[in-house]
Amino acid sequence: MSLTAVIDSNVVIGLAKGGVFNHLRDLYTGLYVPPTVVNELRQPGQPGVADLQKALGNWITVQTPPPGAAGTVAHALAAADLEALGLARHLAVDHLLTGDLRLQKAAAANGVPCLGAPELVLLMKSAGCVTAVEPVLIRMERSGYGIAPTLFASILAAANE
Amino acid sequence: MLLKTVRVELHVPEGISPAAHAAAQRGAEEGAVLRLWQAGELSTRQASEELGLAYTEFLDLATAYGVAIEQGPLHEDVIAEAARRLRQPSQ
Repeated sequence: MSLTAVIDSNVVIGLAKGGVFNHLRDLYTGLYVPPTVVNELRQPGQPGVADLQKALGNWITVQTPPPGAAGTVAHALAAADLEALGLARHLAVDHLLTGDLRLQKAAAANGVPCLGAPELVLLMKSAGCVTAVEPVLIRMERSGYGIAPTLFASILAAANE
Repeated sequence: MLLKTVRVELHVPEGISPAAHAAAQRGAEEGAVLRLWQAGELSTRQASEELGLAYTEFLDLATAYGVAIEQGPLHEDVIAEAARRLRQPSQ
């Protein structure tokens, strides 16, 4: 079965810091990114930039949503947030990949399920892409991608680690 | 065009140097924006704009303050459904 998603900047950065960005292609047969996210990740040397650039046009597609695709959003959001949410709605993807709490709230209000980078690591373990989540989460944290202790513990428990 | 909507008015005792006042003002603004972001009241992009930072710079700032970038909650139902679909054979 195939899964599809729109990916946000924080997930690109988080998964790159964990060294598991490329495993996204093992989970999703369709991955899309709005141009605003690509523009945020252009500075060479920054985490996720090289990974994203390699994936663009290969297994990640850049796409702009039509105007107003985000629908009626009760939560105030930045234009790029609306573009990510709008693209997810327009393409009717399975997930919006973001750990941004504000954007997650707006997505939930629009019926779009969200997953953040640490949750994707858990899904990667379930799919057999990684053997354990803890080393990946520790790599993310040591690289400056902090995970709240309660979320960290919940993921380890769900992974039976 | 950046539009600051979070404003912090900081009063300090007389004799505080302008440089120290400015640093404290900046720290107060960063603290306020980080708390609003942590509570999910501002998105990362909104918070970045408030502080005049790039997206990645704001994430670095959160890290410098010891604020987790990923706060949860764990969407167990979404993960379970995705895992179930991944286990299904391709049509």
